[in-house]
Amino acid sequence: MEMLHNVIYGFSVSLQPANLFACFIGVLLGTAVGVLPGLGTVAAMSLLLPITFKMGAVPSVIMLAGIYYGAQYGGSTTSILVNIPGESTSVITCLDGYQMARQGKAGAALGISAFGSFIAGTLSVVGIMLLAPTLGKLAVKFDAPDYAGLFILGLTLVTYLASGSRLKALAMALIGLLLGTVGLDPVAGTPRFSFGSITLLGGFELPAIAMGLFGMSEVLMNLETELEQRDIFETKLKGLLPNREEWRASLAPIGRGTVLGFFAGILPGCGAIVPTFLSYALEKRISKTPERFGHGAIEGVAGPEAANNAASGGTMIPLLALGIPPNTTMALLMGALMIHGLRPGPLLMVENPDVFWGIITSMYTGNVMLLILNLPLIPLWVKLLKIPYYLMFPLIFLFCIIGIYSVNNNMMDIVVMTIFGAIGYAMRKFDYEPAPLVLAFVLGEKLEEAVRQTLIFSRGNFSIFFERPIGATLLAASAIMIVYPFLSSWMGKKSRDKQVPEEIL
Amino acid sequence: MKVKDLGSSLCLMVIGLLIAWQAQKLTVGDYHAPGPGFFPFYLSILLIITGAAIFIQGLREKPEEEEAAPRKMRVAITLAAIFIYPFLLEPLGYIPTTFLLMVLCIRLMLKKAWWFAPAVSIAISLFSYIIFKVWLQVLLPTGLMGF
Repeated sequence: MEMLHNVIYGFSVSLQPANLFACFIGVLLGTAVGVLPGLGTVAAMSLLLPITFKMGAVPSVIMLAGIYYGAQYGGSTTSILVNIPGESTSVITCLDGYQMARQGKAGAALGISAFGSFIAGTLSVVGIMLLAPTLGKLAVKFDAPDYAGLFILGLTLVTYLASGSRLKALAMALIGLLLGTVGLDPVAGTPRFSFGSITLLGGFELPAIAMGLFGMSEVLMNLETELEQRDIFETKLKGLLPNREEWRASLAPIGRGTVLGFFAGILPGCGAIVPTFLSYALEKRISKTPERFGHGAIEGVAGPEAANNAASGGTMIPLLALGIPPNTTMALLMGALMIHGLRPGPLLMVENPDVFWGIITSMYTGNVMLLILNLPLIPLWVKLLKIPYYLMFPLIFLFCIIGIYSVNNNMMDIVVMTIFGAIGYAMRKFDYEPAPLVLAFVLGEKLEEAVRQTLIFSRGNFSIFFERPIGATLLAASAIMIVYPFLSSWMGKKSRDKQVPEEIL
Repeated sequence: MKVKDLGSSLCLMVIGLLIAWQAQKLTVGDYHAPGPGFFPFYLSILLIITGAAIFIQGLREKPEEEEAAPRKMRVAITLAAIFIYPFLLEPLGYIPTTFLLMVLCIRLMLKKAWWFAPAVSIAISLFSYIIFKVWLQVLLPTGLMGF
C-alpha cells in the first residue's frame, strides 16, 4: 500500500504543468538528439545542463532524464529509415530494421520499436519502484567508511567495464579525481592548485568539463571524418500499427529484452549498448529460423529496442538508491541534482520524496508522450536529418559557448571549456575514454571527504575500512577488479578488450 | 611498440610528477591527520604507476597502423577560433564576434558562392541574439558598438 501511496504522490508531482512541460521538452529534444547522428545524448545533456540552473530541481532532472530515454526512441527511427544509427544503442536495429524498411515494412518496424520501447520503459519504471526503495533502505545504514568503499567500487566498475584498455580507463579516473581536487579543500578550506587564479580557486565545474570533453570533442572528431550526406530512403509510411502476426512474433522478444536490459542497466559501466547486442544474440539463438536475422526479422528489432529502453530505466537505480552514477549520463544527472543542493543517495527518497518519486513517475509519463509523439512526428525527424553538417557543427559550438557563458557570465568559462574540448579531442585520438574521467570528477569530492573523515575518526587506523562488513566487502570486490587487469597483462595474456559486436554478428 | 601509447603514458607520468611536486607543498599529513595535500599526493603517485604500466604495455604491443591524417588543419583552426572568441567577445560584442566565428566555420566545410557563408552567418547571429538575449535574457556582452 505504501508503494501505491508513493506512486500517487509521485504522479501528483510529475503531472504538475511545469514538470509535464519539462518532460515534454526533454523527450522532444531527446528524440531530436537521437535522430541526429552527429550529436550524442551525453553531449546534448551537457549542453542543456547550464540552462537547468535557472529551473527548479525536479523539472531539470525530469527534462534531462527525458533527453536520455527520448534519444533511445529517436535513434531507432533513423536506424530503420536511413540505416544510420542516431545513437550507439540502436546500432543493432539497423540490421533488421533497415531491411524491413526496404521490404516496405518500415511502418511495422517503427511501430514495433516504439511499442517495444514503450512496454520496456513502462516495465522498467515498475522495476525501479520495487527495487530502488529496498536498496535505499539497506544503504541508509552506511557510514563514511562504507561510502568510501561504495564510491571506490563504483569507480572501479566503470574502469573495469570500460570498452578500451582498462589501464587507460584507470588513468582517466585518476585524472578525474585529481581535477576534482582543484579549488578549495572541502575539509580544511585551503586553496589547492589555484596558482593565484580566481577561476581555478573556484574549482572546475561539471558543465565546462562535460561540454568540452563530450560535446566539443565529438564535433571536432566529426570535422575530421566529414559526415557525407546520405540518401534518405524514401518510403511511404503506411500502417504504423504492426499486424497481429507481427505482434505475436514480437511479444516474447520484447519481454526478454526488457528483463535483460533492465538488469544489465543496473550494473555500473554496462550502459545500454551491451544489452542490445545480448538481446539480438539471444533472439537469434533461440529462433527457429535464425537465417531470417539480418534480412528483416521483426524479432531482431523488437528485442534490442526493448532492451535499450529498459536499460535506460535500470541505470537510474544505482543513482537514485545509492548515489553512484553507473554511466556518464547518470553522472550528469547526479551533477544536476547536486547543483540544486540535493544529495543523490539513499536519503534522497526520505529527504526529497518529491524529487525521487517525481522523477520516476515522470519517466512513465514521458514514455506515454514518446509513444504519442514519436509516430506522427517521423516525417519531421526525417527532415531534420537533411540539415547539412556544415550548418549543424557551428550551431553546436555556438550553443556550447552561450550555454557555458550563461552559467556565470564569465568568459573564462568559455576558455576552460575550449581547453577541455582540445583535451577531449586528444584523448579520443590517443584512445582514452572521457567517461571514467567525468564519473570520477563527479564522485571525487565525496570520496575524498569520506576517506578523510574516516581516517580522522579512526585516528589514522586504516583497518577501519576492513572491519565493517559492508565496507570491507565493497573494497574487496574493487581490489580484485583493480588487480586483475595488471595481473593478466603481466602474465602476458592478450589484452582482453571486449569485442561484443564481432562475436555476435 | 605502440608509439601512441608510449607518448601518452609519458605525458601522464609527467602530469603525475608535477601534481605530486605541487601537492607535497601543501600539507600532505599522514594517516592520522590527512591534510589538504594527502588525497592529491597519493592519487598522483597512483597516476605515475598507471602511466608506467601503460608505457610497459605499449612497448609490448604491435605498432599501430599509420592513420591517414585527414583535415587536422580544420580541427586546429576551429579550436583556435573558439579559443579566441571569448577574448573578442567583450570588445566587439556578441553579434560581430559570432558572425566572424560562423563565417569561418562554414567556410571551412563548404566552398560555395562567396556570399553564402556571410549570409547564413548573419542570420544565425541575429536569430541566436534574439532567442538568447531578448527571449531567454542571457546576459551577452554588448561590446563597444552596443550590440
